[in-house]
Amino acid sequence: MPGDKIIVRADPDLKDLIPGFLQNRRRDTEAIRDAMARDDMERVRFIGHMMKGSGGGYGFGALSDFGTALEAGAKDLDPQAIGRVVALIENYLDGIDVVYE
Amino acid sequence: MLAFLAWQDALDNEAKKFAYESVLLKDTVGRSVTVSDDVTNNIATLLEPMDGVDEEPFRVFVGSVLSRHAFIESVSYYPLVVQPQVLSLNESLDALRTASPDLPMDTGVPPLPNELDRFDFSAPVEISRGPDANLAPMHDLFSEPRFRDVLRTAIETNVAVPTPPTGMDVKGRDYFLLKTVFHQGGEDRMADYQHRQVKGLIAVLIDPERLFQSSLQGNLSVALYSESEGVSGRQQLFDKQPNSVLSQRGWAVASLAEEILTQFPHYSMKLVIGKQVHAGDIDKGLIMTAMVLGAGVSLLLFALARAKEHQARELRERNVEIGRQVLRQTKELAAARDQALDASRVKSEFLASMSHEIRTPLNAIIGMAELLAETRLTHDQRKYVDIFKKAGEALQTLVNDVLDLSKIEAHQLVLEHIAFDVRELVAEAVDLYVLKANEKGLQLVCRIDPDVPLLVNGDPARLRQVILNLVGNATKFTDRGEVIVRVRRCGATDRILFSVCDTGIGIPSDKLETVFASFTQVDSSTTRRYGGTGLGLSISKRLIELMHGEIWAESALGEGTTIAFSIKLDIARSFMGHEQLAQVAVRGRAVDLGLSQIAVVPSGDRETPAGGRQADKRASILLVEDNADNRVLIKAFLKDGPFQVEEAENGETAVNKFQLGAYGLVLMDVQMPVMDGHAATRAIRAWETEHARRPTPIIALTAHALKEDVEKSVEAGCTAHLTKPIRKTALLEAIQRYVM
Repeated sequence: MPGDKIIVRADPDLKDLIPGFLQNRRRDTEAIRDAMARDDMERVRFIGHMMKGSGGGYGFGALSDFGTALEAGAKDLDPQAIGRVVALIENYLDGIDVVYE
Repeated sequence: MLAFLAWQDALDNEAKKFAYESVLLKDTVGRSVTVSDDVTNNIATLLEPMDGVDEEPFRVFVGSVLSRHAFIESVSYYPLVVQPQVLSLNESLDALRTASPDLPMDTGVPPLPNELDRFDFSAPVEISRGPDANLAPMHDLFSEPRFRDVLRTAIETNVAVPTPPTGMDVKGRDYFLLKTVFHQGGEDRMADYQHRQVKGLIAVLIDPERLFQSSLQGNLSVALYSESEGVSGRQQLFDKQPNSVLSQRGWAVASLAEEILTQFPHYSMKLVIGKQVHAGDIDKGLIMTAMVLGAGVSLLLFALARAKEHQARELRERNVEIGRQVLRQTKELAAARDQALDASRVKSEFLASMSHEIRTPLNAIIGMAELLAETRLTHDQRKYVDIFKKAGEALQTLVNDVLDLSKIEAHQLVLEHIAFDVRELVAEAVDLYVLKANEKGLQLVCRIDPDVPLLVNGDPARLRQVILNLVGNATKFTDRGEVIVRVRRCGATDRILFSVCDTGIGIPSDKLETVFASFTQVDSSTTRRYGGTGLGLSISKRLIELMHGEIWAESALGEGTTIAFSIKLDIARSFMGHEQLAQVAVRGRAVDLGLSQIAVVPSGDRETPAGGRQADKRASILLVEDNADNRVLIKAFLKDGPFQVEEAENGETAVNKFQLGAYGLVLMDVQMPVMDGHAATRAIRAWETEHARRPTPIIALTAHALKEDVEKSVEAGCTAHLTKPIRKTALLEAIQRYVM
């Protein structure tokens, strides 16, 4: 429902790292939009690949899935698909509530 | 077939015989007709230079001709004269008769009519063979068109020409060879004739039968023909049929023939020889022999076939008999097998039954002793309980050993073949004796080489049993010093060498051979002082031998003993996933992080790791990961540990750093730019081999968890494989396992 938060339970040991990690993901969405404007699909693919590889480790499995989708969209040269994924990532980042336990 | 071949051979023989017989005939007739022609030409040549017939030389020459050639009946010379010359010729003839009264001479012939008047056939010079020569009048002869034609041909050519048979002799076969005699220098026949250059005519009378001389064979048919141009054409001069009686020679089976042509300028002589081969002519010997042989061969073949058939029948019967025997023996074997199986089952049941029957009360004794020990007891009661508890435990050990040995000797013991962690197994087994070692003030050390594989296939329970036995013995027989358990790989093979080395009482050299024998201890005092059944090493030896390994002992009295064994343990191909890795528990043993060396000092606190952790290269970790967030994450996981982490963003950087640095562990991401993790691992392993370095543990970090991906990591040279997302516990477990 609108307003509901997405609860993500994370390792307390990573409490210091997660805020910076999430901030980097916001930067990723900006970088993707820049790359799309330049039609640089390779850059989009790289960002997606990195997101795929790191999301789960920090406890954000959804980010790994988003990264996979970005990678696929870049390989398919599908800017619309990429645009939809970027919107999802931004909504996700806006909606998550990290619980350390 | 043989008879046919023999028949063909017989016919071939007849043909050869015919060829041989006709050779003589051909040769004789050929020479004879050639001589006839030559004589005719020679006499004409002789007469040319003569104005008339020079009687003496003519007579001498002809006489010798007649004496040498029986087939020449007579030689006559008919001059070409005009009427006035007839008288002159007769006078010459008279003179000749006077000179040679022995020579029979004809008295001449009346003149011939018409164009042939030029030859004076009335007064020839004629010399014949004998007084029996029966010569018809020549003018009558040459009145016939056949002969006149021949005469004309003789006049017009300068060659000898044959006449048809004259019919003048009894057989009617004699024929003339005619040849014109010219005045010397005359060449043109027609011109000579018209200009009267012809001087005369030679007529040589031939008996064709005598041309064959004595070469005529009774079994051959012979015919002689003259063939010339003109009206006379082909004339049969001689014909003779074979003289055998047909019925005596059987039916004709073959007909052989040959024709021979002797060619002269204006005519040819054709000889035809023939032979009928009759059945009676065939040499039956060979055919009979062939038939006999053929019959013999047929009989032989028949006999062989019968023998083969007999042999085959015997073979069949033998096979049936063998089949029956095999069946009988199979049944016997099956019965024996069943008996053996029954015996084995009885033995197994006995062992199982005994095992159960003995262990059950023993368990009860020991269990009750433990329960009793927990109750309130007097000092003496506690002492008694301790005693019978220990006795029960000792009896239990003895029973277990005896049952184990019985099982092994009865071939009832079957080893398992499953994957297990050999490092953990050894560590856990050693762990069980930490307390005892501590009580005795001993240092108990376990060293496992890094190249000992993680997962192997084998029987973990029995391997543990052996290690427990050896470590137990070492701990028991050592009062001071240390017990070191070592596990290492035997070179590049898949054999693992285990050794337990103590600084205990040692074994006399003369007893070393017997330590592995059943119920054997060094001496009776050993049993009294140290206890034991004397079965442990024997069982260990049997178990190692079942594992196709070998075990041996080295010792020096008072200095210590080393018992070592080597066994083949295949590397288990199925790799544990990260969840299983995470589940492998350290379980609180005294294992220092980054070390698999258990150091137990006599401080009484086994949970305290040995002090003074050394900062050495084994705590240095190379983290190879292209994702900066992941590098941060992993470093965060390791921050509480005694690790020094260096980073590399790709495989190439990792290989360079590895060669320059000294690391106890490499955490290798697989998917990276420039050089991926597998390639970097292969490069590192190659470098280690080249520089004789012991392999550094390399743990692959990858998002792929499929069996194939794990196997790829192993094949590249990785020691272990962790699947992303990496969990802290799994990472630490893996590090604890592989870093020394």
